[in-house]
Amino acid sequence: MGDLGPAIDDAARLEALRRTCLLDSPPEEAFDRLTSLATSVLRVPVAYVSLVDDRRQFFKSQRGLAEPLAAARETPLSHSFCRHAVESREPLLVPDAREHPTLRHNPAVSEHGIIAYAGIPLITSGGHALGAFCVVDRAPHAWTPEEIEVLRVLARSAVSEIELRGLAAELTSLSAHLQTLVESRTTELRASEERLRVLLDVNNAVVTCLDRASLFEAATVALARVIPFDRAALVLRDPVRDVFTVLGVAGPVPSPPVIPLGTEWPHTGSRSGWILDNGRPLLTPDLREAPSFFEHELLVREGILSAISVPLTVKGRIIGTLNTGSRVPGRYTEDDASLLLAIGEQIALAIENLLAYEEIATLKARLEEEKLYLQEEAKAEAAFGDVVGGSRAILGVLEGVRKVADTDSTVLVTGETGTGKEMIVRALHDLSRRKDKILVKVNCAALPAGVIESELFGHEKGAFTGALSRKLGRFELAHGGTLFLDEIGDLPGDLQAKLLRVLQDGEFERVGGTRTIKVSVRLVAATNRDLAQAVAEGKFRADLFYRLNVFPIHIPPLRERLDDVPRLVRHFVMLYAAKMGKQVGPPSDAVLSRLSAYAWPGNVRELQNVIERAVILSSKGRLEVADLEAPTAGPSAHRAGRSLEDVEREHILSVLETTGWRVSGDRGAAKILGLKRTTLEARMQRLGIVRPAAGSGNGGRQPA
Amino acid sequence: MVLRITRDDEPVSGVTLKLDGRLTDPWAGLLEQECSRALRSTRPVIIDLSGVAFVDRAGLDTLSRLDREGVSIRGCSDLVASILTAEGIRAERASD
Repeated sequence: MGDLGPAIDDAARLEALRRTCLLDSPPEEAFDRLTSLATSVLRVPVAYVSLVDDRRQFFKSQRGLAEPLAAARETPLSHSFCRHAVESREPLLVPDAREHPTLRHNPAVSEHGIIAYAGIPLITSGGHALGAFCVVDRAPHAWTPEEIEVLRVLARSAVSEIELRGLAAELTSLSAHLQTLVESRTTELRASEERLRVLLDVNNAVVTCLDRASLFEAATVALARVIPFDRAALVLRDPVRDVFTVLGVAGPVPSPPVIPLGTEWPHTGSRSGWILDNGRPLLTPDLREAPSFFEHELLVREGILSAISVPLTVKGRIIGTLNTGSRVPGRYTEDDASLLLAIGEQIALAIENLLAYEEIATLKARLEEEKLYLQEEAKAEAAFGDVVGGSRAILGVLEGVRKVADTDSTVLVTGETGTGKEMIVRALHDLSRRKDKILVKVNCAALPAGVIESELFGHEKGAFTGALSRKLGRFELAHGGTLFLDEIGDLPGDLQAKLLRVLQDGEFERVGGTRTIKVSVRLVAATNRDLAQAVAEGKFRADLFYRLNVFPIHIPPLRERLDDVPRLVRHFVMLYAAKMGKQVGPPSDAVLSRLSAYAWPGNVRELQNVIERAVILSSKGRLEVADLEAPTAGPSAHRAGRSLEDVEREHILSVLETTGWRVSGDRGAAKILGLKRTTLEARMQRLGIVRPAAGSGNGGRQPA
Repeated sequence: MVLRITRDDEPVSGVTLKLDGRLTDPWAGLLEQECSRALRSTRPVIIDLSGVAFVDRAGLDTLSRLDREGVSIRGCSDLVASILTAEGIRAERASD
């Protein structure tokens, strides 16, 4: 009687019982109604609905039980009759328990006075016997089939109620489960919304930033709101040189910083390099452990122990990395990495915008400068046209020009002042592959020393007092074209060094700037000094001289090619006559021979000026070439007070002296002055010019 | 600085190309083209330089070539004539 049958402790049955949630539950009217009905219809004193688990039987509803049983609402299994009905799954009908072979020993008989018992097992649709519907009499009772039928009906009602309870409980549980799901989903959505809001904030903060400093600041402020860091850095990639530079660093930076701004590091062996190669975030819980990139040692030295790095991607290209670091090892999770990646996308877009803007701004500034420069040039254009001359000397020069023009070689043009170096330079440019690009000229002697560096290399805003905005230098202006440095011997020493670097590496920094600018410029330099001598005297850098002297072109002075003079004269006469709209006849042989006899210390330019003046002074189509005198003949100031007549008299006198007072003939004064003999004689008379008597030496002046 | 080339066709005297302006690059090339076309007609071709006050290197080279091909150069000012002559180009002055 003490042993539990297999049915009682069956796990499935007990689970089914538990799910009803009826064990230890308060009495309910639905069940009480049934037990009440049972007692009145069957005229018995006791009726109950019992639920039997593995330890006890619990009275869900009872009617007629005596105290203390009624209050306890349960009895141990040893006292239970119902358990047998549950085990057998058959109605248990006991007319007189005292006569029953096993039940007569059940304590309930003596303790509770149970004599007659009828119990119908409560079997659910799931097939589990959970308990029983019972009636008890305190006197022997022979249970009739009708009575048993009534019990069965009542038992079925009880089962229905039980099942209903089960369903209700299940419904509640499902509902609670649903509630939980909804809540968790809502939390997820809110987190997602929050994340999108963060990204939007980041986007708004950075996308309008058009300079590097404010972009970085806005980015780190936004970042700090969602990801904790002790150090953050934006790293940009230079695809041409395959190095990374730090755009900005946030967080307390030791002074001096271990990794200063502008530091460059290579692709291989760096975190950023790894990210470039693998295209995904790098999450490092402890920087002291492998794999080691060389940033790790530097960061650990600053106390940063964990880090995340994510790629900054625009249109599938990785343009840099976004990095955060913490003093706490293992600070970051995969979620942090994915958030950082998303933020990185916004920042990448902003950087792309910024770089494009910078490029546009640079190009625009260059175009503006080019425009201004060309406008100035157009005004100052000397109507040279082309190089004139057929002498061997000049043909040699032109041959040299032809040979070197189309290469990108540096050319050094030497020659005295006025030999036409600028024309040679222009010819070099026009025959080169850069002929459709700009030719920029800088006169190193004309610029004050303090300004020349800024003129050549540009300056950043605020680089010095007066630097109100960024200015592009001549080198940048000449990018893609030719730069002509005239009078290069006058370049100050410190600039010689900077120029040398540009010639060697093609790069420089603007005054007050840190950014290295790269240019492609073909350099042509000119000087009228002896640079070799200047090098010997220590006034010019030897290494720069050798760099410049790659292909020297020397223009001989005019006095070494006097046979070019007639051609030059005719050319200039034609040039100025056309320019001034005057009809001028060709220069006479006399004029040409006179001009060819002169030494021309000022070279072609002097000749040009003389001819220009002659054309201005020409009348009736006849060229008036004034007297040629050496510059050392005295200042012209004291001549200002003389009349035209005086000038004419002196001129005729000096010519007569040259010819030995010969007036007519091929070597006579008349021919040289371009006058008929009779005209000259008349003029001499008018001006009172008389040949002095031999030995008088008074210059032939006779009082009028 | 534009060069204007006016073509005058006479059945007997031939094709006259009158130039007005400056004979410089790139119009020198244009002149050469026009002359080549005119020369195909096998009638005389004349270049009238009375409206030209300036000739540059390119212009001189072109005139030199055209002279060798038998084109007559006329109407030059004395100045321009002297320059052409110095280059070995046959040219008639306007005053001739």
